[in-house]
Amino acid sequence: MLIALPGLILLIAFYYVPLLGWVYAFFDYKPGYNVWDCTFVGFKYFKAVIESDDLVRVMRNTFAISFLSLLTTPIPPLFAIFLSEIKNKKFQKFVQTATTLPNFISWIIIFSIAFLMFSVDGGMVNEFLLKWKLIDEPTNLLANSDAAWIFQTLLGLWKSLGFSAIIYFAAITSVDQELLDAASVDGAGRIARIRYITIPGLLPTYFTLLLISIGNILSNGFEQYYIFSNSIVGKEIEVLDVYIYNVGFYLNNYSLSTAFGILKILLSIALLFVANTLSKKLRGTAIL
Amino acid sequence: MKRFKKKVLALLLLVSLLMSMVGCSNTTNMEEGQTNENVSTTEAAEASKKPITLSIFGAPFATNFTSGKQDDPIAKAIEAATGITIDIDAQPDQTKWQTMLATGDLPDIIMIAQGSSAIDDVKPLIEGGLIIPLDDLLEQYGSDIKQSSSKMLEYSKKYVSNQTDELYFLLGFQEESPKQFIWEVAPNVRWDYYAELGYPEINSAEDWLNVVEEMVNAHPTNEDGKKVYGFSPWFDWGLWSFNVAGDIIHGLEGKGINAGFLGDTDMVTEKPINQGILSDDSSIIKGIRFFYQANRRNLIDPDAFIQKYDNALEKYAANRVMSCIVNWVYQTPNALFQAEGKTTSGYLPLPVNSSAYYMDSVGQFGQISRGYAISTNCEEPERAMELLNYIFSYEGSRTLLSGIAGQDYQEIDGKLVLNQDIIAAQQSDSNFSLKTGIQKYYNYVGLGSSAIDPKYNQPVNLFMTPEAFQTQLNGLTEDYCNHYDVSYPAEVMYDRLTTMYQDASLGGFAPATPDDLKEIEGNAELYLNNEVMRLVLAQDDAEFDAVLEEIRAHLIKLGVEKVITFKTQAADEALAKRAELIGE
Amino acid sequence: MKKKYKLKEITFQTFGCIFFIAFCILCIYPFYYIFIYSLSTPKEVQIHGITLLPLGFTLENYITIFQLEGILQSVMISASRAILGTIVTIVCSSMIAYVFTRQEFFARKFFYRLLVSALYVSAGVIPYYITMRAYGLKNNYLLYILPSAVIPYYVILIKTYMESISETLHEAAFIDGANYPTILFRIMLPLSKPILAAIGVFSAVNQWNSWYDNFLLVTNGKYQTLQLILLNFLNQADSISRQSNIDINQMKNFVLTPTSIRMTITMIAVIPVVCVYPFLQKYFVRGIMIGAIKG
Repeated sequence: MLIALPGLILLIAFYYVPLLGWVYAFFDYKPGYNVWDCTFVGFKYFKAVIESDDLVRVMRNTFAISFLSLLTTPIPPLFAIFLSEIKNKKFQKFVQTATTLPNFISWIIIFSIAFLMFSVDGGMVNEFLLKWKLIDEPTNLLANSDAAWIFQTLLGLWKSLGFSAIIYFAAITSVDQELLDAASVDGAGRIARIRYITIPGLLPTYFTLLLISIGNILSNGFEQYYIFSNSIVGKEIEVLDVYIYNVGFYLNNYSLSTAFGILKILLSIALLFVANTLSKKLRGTAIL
Repeated sequence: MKRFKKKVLALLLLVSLLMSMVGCSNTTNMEEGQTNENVSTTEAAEASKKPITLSIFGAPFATNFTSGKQDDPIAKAIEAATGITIDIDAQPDQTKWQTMLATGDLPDIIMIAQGSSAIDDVKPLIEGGLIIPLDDLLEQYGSDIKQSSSKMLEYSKKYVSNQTDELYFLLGFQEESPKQFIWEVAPNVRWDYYAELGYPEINSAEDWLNVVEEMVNAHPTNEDGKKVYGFSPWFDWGLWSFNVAGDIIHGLEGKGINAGFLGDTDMVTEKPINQGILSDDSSIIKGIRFFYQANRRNLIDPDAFIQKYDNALEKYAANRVMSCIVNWVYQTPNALFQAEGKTTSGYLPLPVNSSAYYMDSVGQFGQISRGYAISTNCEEPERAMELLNYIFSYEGSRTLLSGIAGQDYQEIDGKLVLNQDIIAAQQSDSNFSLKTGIQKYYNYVGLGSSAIDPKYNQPVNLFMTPEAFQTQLNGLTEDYCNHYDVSYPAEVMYDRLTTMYQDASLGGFAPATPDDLKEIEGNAELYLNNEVMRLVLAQDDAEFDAVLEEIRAHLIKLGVEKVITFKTQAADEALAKRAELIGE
Repeated sequence: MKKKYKLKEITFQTFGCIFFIAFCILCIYPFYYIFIYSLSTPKEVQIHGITLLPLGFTLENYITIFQLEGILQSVMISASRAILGTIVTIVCSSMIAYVFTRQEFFARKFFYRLLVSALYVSAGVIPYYITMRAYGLKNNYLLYILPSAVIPYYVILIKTYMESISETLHEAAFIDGANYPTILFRIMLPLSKPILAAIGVFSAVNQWNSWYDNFLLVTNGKYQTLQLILLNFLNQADSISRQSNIDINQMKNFVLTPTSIRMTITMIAVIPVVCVYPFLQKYFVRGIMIGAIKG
């Protein structure tokens, strides 16, 4: 298995060796001092993490938003399937390329555009609704804390749909064409073919990605929620990544931030393995 | 297989082509540091003029030019004088700084203030052996520094040396009485509309709100027909807006205060005079109340609660906001009015009534946040000291701030006078400082703009003298000056102030804040940032008071009272030590 | 019966097209907005805003950026790392992915779990810096290639795809006397073109847009990436617009606004990718499998 060797070495060298840095969390470390000269504090910072006041609220936000995202995971594969059913190949390719565009727009600009669309004063959506007398007062979507979770999820979906679908476009090609042809000869309609052949063909990919996403529940991503945060919805969309950043910014304590990071990573991996075991019990197969 | 082999071959060719373009053969060993570009003789005299490059990790708040080797006329002047090319990292970043500290990978010269507060960097740098003591180098190469900065040197040795009494840091930006053309923090309003209303007196927050409301009622839309607002603040800068607004209101009421959310400082006594958010008459409370009342009177742009700074700028640029707590946001519309010929339209700061008000932060001993040190990695510390000697000399600072002698200014009758064309260029050229290099290194000078050169008895920044200011007036500012009978806008304030500067050196005299108190302060600020909007958005006074009670209770629970006590003690100590040094 | 079928088909195609067109507009318009913003005069668009057409048409944003020092060199660097890095990534990642599909691999489960866990671990800035430095990757072009040679996410995707390739192919190949490397390079890789093309897109996009490794570890002017130069320029403009501690006169006349620069940078980041992706789409094609088993 010599082929495996270079890959494994690279993996360990670049992903696991740096983890030696986790030692910082156990000391009162400040950059500039040698870590071994600093006071050893054991689990002090880990305790501090668990005892933080805001942690409950932040975890609630994180889980809620992640849960909503998980609900949207079937959409990219369905999108890919239906697009591949469109006859015109040129149109298919155009849509494929066009829908990946939002992925490249940074969140700062997405905010600018969202502001352009939804701001109270002069936002395009409000102007349109007011002009056509559909509402009396302008809406303030960006400051709506009730709709915040759904709004952010939809934004995330819009941004990542086309790009995520790329994997499924590739995976669809692995579905056996012979089987599909045989099925349609036997009289299976479009829905039947999709249901019994295409979808099962995509399931391994889908479930693998789903399990990975479950492991990512705690990592919603920093940029989106930091940028859309404002004084009104801030508390609803402050997810773990943003919270860790804020704590790091105001407290400027490297050891504490490291402790946060370690706990988050361990919890994520634990989630992954739990999901994996569940998957084994329910579906009979697991990715690990 | 043959096709595959061909493909691989083609790729390899492409790769090697790219690599050669990239030229990775000879430069993989280059660390941050210098390259000796000329090998010359070993004669001591010639060696001191040998061209080298020194790398500098720049000031974190001065990211206004591109990193790398600088080649503008001023940088060339520095080269001519010292033989040194400067390579500045002009985008210094907190994370990068931490990695540098952790590994000791510092460039030749560093400037502190990369951390949350400059004084925090002192200890690890010295204890970690990352920077070198400068006493000997100063003796040999720092003659100009000794001449211009004796007070700073004493201060640095005693208070910015981690109790070692050795010289480690050279603190730049020494000056005692800077004068500006115009000042930022004030009730800025639309000047021509203010004139229309008959220049009403503004002596309180209430007056300010009234005047702005009248302006908005008189001119409800801008030229494009879009709605106009009284205020359009942005709240993504933390508690800044409230602190600044509070200071302004204190000024209107006749007191000079520097805000702190856990205790304001009185500018005259330089001591904390209240408990910040826990007191009712602190700047932050006044600021929060101000925006709360503005909101109740519908003077605030509804987007203020969701917009970022960049979005807010657009509103100001479009003439849709009557008033702001700072003036710089109005640069664009002011310039446009002048260009369009509406020379008396624009936005200017209104004077306040106190005899003490914050105009600038000065350091007679230099400012710690502009502290230079030479790192142990520097291979030619003598040359580094020569460079610093130049920066801290009168000639050097003057070159950085005013231009090249003989070319940009002339000596006439023993006085230095700026050339007309350079004055004109500064007013009109959009890239003036980047092109000429003049004031590009504003934040890197050893001596601040108003430091007086004993040879000519003039400040080193010839652009920032009252005479120079008079040449910078335009239609709008001239109208303003006529009304207040002064020769340049800020003179209105300078005339009525006796205390106008905050001493930036007090930080060095104060004892270091212990870690547990820092943690409490950090948590308090984090909490307050999350809650403060509930106050501004309160529907009525009862709600406001109730929420304030809640916030105060929580902060006390966090332990802020300990921090407040410490700060009061620290201020007393600092003042005592400063008195000792000055010899009062 | 046939007529009904045809009607159903036409309805489906029509509604499908309408739906996709609508979604495309939703994706394209913001991008279009960025495009026209980058072609508008910064100060004007800051005041008046735009909807469908640029305001005060100007190429100034682009010209300023193309005149930035070191920009051409950085384009070469970013392009070369996108190409080289992607090739290295595809080769290394697929090698290890293939090994993971083989049941007989020693401690397969353990190593695979190690791989998947690596998806979530990150050590923090300082350990990252120290490790890269220890490996000699500071100021080294290889920093852009080596650490991203094996990316867990890609490996997992490739492995999953490879597992859908029939096992009988392997058996046939073994009988024919092939060994692992041969099977990998002659059979598995060509059959995995679709997923490799997808990974190629991801990797190229990632490499093109990377700047953080450059930021922390590479100060040599020859190795600067495009994104970092653009980002620095953006920071410069940003700090001027905040008038933080700089001479008041500097801000007054600076012509570009940070927002305009951001828009222009986005265009520069996207355009190369938009050009490359259509080329790779031709790999998303069915039917490569059919001949494989029979033949």
